Amino acid sequence: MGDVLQARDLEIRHGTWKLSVPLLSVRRGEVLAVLGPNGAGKTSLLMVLAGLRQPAAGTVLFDGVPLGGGRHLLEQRRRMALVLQDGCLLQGTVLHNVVLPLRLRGVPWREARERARRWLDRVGALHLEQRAAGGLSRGEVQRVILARALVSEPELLLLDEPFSGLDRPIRQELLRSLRALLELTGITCIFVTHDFAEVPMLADRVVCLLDGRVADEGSPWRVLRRPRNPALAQFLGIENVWPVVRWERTNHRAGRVWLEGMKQALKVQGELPRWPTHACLPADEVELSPDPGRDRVASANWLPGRVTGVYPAGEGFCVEVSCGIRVLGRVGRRAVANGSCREGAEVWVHLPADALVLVGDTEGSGGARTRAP
Amino acid sequence: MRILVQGCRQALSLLLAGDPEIWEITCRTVAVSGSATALSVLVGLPLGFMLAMRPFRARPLVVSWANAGMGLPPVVVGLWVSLMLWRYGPLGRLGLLYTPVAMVLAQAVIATPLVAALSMAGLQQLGERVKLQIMALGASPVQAVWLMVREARYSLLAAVMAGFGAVVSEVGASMMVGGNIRGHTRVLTTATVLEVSKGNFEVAIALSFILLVLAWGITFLLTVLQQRNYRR
Repeated sequence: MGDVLQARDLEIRHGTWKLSVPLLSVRRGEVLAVLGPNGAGKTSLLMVLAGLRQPAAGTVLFDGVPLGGGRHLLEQRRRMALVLQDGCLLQGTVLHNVVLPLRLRGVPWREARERARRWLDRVGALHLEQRAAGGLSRGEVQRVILARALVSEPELLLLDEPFSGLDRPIRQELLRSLRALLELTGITCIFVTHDFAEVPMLADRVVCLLDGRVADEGSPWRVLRRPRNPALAQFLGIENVWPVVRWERTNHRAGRVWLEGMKQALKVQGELPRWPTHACLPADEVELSPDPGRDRVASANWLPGRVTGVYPAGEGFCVEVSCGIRVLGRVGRRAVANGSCREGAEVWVHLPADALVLVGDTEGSGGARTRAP
Repeated sequence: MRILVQGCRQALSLLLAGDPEIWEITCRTVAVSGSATALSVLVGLPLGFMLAMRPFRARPLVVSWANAGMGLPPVVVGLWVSLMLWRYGPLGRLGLLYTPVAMVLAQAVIATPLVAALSMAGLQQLGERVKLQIMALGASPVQAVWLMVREARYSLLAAVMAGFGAVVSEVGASMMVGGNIRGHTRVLTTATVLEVSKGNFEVAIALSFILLVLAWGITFLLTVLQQRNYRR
């Protein structure tokens, strides 16, 4: 399986702002997520990959051929489909909108109409075909936009935050529909998002843009759960990020670490950077217990502490515990209701060694690389 | 008041009688103003498109010219077109002065800034998003222009209506470059001015009625065309 798209030494500039992408590739049939905060350059990157914007430097290869100018570029663009952020429908009926990409490619009206109806059916919007595009709800518009993007059966689908601004249930439903359609058709897809909750639902691989460069790349689980540096951890919403004051390696995949404000060492397992500067742990990996039992406490990384704050967070609560360091954990309603996690209560905090991630501050200190001592 | 009623009555009888000269003037007005509008659309629409879509260094200057041109006094246009077409002027050899062609040219100069500035505003209102969306659908440059025109058709037809309205009602330029020659360059506006100066109010009222009906009728046709698919 070759690369459908490959970008080399790409540099995108906008005034003093710059984004550098040394290498970005997507394999045939793969779904690649481009993740980054607002203003990271995700949309600009997508425009360059779609041939709608010129990079300041570098090349983009589509199916091994550089994106060229004139007629050649048009032919290449017609093998792709791009869904813009807040994409819009043109005037006319839904059917006219979905037919349009095919008509622009010279497909006869009758055939174009049949194909458009088939794709409207696949996205669950066939009942809207004769409706005026201006009278649809936001969710319906997104379905029609999806059908319009897929109707030409492109080799590469580029999506720029296609479902942003939609209610969560509709967004989840559309993401599931899109995943099913991509699996059905095998279309290669690059989708841009700043919502990391969307990534595991759709992506096979994720590229994270931060501070004008590719900050991380890998499987969604690895990138989201084991960030490469504290800035990424902060962007990914990992609640617990502590400075490391001392550390030692016990073997090539295990070690001990001392955090600022703690006398006790914590055990860590897994990928270890050369010079860790911070330790990270998502709040939902933290275990809180009023009495875990002597045997468990003796095992590793159990710390006694006191609850200093309880805040509603999503479907449960976020609990702040002081135990030399400030730890944020998540608990259900029951733990708060029965008083075991009320403010002022004494609890034991478990920071699992295999979930604790050590990160380096900069590449220069070797933070992103694993190396034996 | 009596003059008005009497004038209206006589005007009605003139119209019903189908005076051949009035019909001739009416037809010439439609031909001259229609041609001038068509010419202004041919020049003004691409200009408006360029101003809306293509950034270039002198764009603010050209936009300000187009906007200022919307208020161009017809007598000023008449004067300059007369000077250009005058026997010893730069285009004097063409012998166009005091011909309907000169009137078409003068009226087109009046309407072009209107069509350009209003179509520019209409196309700009669509925004970069629609342009990008059309390109993203796989449109060639020609297809993209066509789709943009289709998307902005309500604004563009409004620009055409404004252009036609301006030229069909102007009198200064037509008088100066056409000369109001009977059977040759006389149009409804110049004929109305002449009849008023002669004290023939009933003929002037008849001509003014025709002018009003003509202006309204053509604008009505364009409005029907404009609003045909408006479903929002």
